[in-house]
Amino acid sequence: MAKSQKMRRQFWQTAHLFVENAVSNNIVLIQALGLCPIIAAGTSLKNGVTLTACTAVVLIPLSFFIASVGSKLPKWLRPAIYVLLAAALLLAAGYVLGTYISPELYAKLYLFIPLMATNLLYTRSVGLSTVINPVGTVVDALGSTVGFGMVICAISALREMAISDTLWDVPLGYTIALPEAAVPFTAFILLGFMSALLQWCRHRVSAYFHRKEVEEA
Amino acid sequence: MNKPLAPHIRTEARTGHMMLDILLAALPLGVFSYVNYGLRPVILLLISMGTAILCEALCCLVGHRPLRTVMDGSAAVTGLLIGLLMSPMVDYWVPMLGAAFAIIVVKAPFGGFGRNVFNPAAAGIAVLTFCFPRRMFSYPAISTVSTLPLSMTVEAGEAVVEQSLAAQLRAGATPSLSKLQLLLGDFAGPIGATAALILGAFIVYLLFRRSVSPWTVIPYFVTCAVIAWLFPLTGMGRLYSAMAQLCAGYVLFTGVFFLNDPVTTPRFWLGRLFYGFFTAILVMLLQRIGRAEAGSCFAILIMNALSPIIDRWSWHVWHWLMRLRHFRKEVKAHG
Repeated sequence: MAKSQKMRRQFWQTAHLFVENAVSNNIVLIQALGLCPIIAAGTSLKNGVTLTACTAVVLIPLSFFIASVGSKLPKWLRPAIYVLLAAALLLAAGYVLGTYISPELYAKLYLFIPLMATNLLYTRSVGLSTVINPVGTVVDALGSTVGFGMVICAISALREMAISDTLWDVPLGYTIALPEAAVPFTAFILLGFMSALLQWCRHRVSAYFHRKEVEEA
Repeated sequence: MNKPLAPHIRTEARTGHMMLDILLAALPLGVFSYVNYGLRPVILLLISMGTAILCEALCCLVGHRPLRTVMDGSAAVTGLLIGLLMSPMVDYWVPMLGAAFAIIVVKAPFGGFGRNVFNPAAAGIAVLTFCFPRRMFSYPAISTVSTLPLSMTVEAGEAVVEQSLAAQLRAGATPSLSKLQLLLGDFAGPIGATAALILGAFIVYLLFRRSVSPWTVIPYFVTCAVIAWLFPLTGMGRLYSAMAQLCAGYVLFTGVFFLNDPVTTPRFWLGRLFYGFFTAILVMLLQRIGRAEAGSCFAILIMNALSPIIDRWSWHVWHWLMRLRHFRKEVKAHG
């Protein structure tokens, strides 16, 4: 009985960690990280999904590594090791993408993959000092990846629909095309509005719980 | 709900009369473009204003603001300014897009009229300039014989496209217009930005009505004229060049409308002076080197961002000078 209770508590803790990273403390919309790839490369859904996959490939193993081995390494060596590991993972991801999946996509995105990874990396190495157990860290990384992926996929899908009337290269069948949506400021404006929406939701949710607490008390 | 609707102005009646003054300017400009191009520019103006008002009403509903704020006329003015800077042959959806952007993105998120950091109309025009330069800057030649068709898009054969004055100046070509033509606005250009005489009369009217401050307007026009006189773009004499450069693009229009937006200009008189002066320098600079043919809206946006700083610093400078004077008087009096 006690064991199952403990497991349930752990499950809810993990779920809370995941949801917090994916939604309520979103890595892009609240922490304003990884903006560069979204603004520059988030112009079609394929790009968005590829970048999300690359993030997952780098972030999750790296987080696991940092949480499990990082504390045993000497402090001065840690950043170098992290960066080297991230570079190795990225090279592998880029190689797989370029040779097996889609060379064209790799040609389009090869600049942004390392950019995005370093961008995310700095937060992880800072943020991970609080989360010590490896499972929690992986969940944390997974949440961040999902959060990043949701935002970049939403923005790149919207922009792809506006630019070329297609979604995942499938024509949608209306005739208005605005190639001008590829300019960076559309992404900035979309991000601004999404961020505002998220903050509004957060505010509403916390106000709801506050009201409930007051009613109970 | 006793929130002030326009925090920069004490009495509410005043905003209404300022907006009404500006809307009044639309009448002669509308008639002018009706005579030149037929009904199409008038429809463009109405569509632009209607979109702006609709978007404002929508934003009021979303933001739980009373709907009567729509009636202060600021949204209509924003739409009007965007409409006035359209090419007469532009598609109908272009001013709609500009007006919607101006209200929904630039004005409403900052808290509506009186709190917007940037001039909404200038931002709308900037976006359109940035996104659709070819549509924005292809102007039909003025012809009294045929009028523009009212269909959604003006086809290539239905109007004679003429190079605008700003484009000619940038290319270093010598414009073939006489001084009288420049004054009368008898050349291809935006709906409401070519008629120099109407705009001039209108600014005088606004100055007499005290709807605009002479502290911004006079430095702006003087600086523009001096720069154009010192560095002429055409080889036809300094006076002609100064006239042509003032009439080209949005230069006059900026001085009459964008510069006098009551919300985004500095409040202190010295700040207003600096604001007009620096805007003029930027506008004349953009006329020569900017990527877009008419870049005044970018100059206005840049100056809008700096306007609070200009206001504060000029206030400090003025009061420092006054203190200095006072101090010297004291020293003189008491040895």
